[in-house]
Amino acid sequence: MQAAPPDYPLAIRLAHWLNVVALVALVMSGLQIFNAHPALYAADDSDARRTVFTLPAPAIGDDGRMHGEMVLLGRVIDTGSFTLSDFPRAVTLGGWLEGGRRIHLALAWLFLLNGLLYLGVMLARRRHRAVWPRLADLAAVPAALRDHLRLPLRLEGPAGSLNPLQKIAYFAVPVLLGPLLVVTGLALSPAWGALFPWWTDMLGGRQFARTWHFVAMLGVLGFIPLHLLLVALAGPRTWARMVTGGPARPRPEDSHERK
Amino acid sequence: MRPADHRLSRRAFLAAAPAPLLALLGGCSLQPGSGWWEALAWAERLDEALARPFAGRLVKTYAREAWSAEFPVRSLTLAGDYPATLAAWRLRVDGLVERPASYSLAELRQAFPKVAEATRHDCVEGWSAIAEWGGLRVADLLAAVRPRPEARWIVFHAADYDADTGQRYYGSLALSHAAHPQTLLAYEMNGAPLPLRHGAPLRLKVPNQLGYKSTKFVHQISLVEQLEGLAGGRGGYWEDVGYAHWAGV
Repeated sequence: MQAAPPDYPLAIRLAHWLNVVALVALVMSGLQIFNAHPALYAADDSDARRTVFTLPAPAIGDDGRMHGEMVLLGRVIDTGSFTLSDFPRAVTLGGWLEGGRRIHLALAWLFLLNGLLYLGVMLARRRHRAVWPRLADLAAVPAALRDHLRLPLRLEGPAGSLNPLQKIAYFAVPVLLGPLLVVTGLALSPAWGALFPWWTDMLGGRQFARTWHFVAMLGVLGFIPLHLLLVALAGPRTWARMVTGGPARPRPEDSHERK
Repeated sequence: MRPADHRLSRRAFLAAAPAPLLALLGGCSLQPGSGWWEALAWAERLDEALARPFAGRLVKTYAREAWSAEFPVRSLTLAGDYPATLAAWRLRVDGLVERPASYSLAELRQAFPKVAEATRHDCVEGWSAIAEWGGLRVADLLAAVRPRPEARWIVFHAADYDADTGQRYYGSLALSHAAHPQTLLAYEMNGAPLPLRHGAPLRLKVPNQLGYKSTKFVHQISLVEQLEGLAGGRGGYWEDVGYAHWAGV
């Protein structure tokens, strides 16, 4: 059966824009929280021998001169004159640790309930078929990549369905990345750890879960510019549909506009 | 572009506007008692209410190999003569109890069964460290002093203080949380007497909440009906700063 063309019912549009607000605030307040201990580990405890990441904090070298030093996957990297002890105020939210935590822990609920609303509507309206990648989609990725590097952009697959890259992105972000953020975030709570000790163990321990939480956040940060680029290329008509809903298929009078 | 398109794209822009507006808030400080602070209080209450039915669950305990090589300390200031006072140290238990009591360290060891278990300490800052804590269950101490029916909170008074304000460190737990079998008053760490920097001679250990609930340098325990009127009135040094009283997340 041919998958239905994408449309944007009210619940999906509402969930999307609530998500924009929640995610921006969650990332910023998360960076605020990170600043209280700006290091990540691949262990249950904060084992310095298993440090995965630190910001390039100022350090004094063997020559007695100040330079930036960061850890990435266990390697110490000299960043020269570039130093960053913590994420700057412009990209954080809350102003101090508990200010950030208060925003983060409240908006985590918004993010969770909103994600469930989105996934629920997708399943109830059988819209998941439109984004669920199939083997044929994976095989078509090289061709779609070529299409994406060429202008004008071909945004739709056969008969108005999403193209394979869109399917993979719109599948991976809500179905894989979103739940990963929730699962790894919950593992950081000592009360949740008491409730399900295996939950934290499954992620390699609490500090490892904190690292995965950060990695999932980077995944979201990576998705946003790609998404915005494609949205910008898709043109104002698509933006409007994401706000007003709009017709599932272009109206006849639109047909002269693009393509 | 036709006018209709123009209008719609402006609506799209307005819908997306909250994101850059949030960016403008970057660095703004959310202060305790402010309108926004109170507006977010529901999340803390919701988390605590959802966790309450599971409050008795036991946290993971660790084998000796898992003990952390380093255990960071975030201490306030101690009086210079504090170590010299420890020879005469006693723990006073008072307030809303049937049998107020006072114990030397030797009496605590003798009067109550010793429990030793290695648990993970999760600091609100984000780091974690694992150590074995040996001491008595707060539940056993409560059974000995018999809380009166109106007692709701157990307050732990500490010897360290804030050098800037002179405010003494203290902390508190709801009596129901204090009765958790893993909530200990520890006089040993990793099999040795509790080191001074970790709160000698006696510290609280609450392994199912964040580290700031585990009050160090405890010398007095008081059972009370309400926390108002005590220091900042929010039940602890860090709580008076703004941190949550129930620190399960």
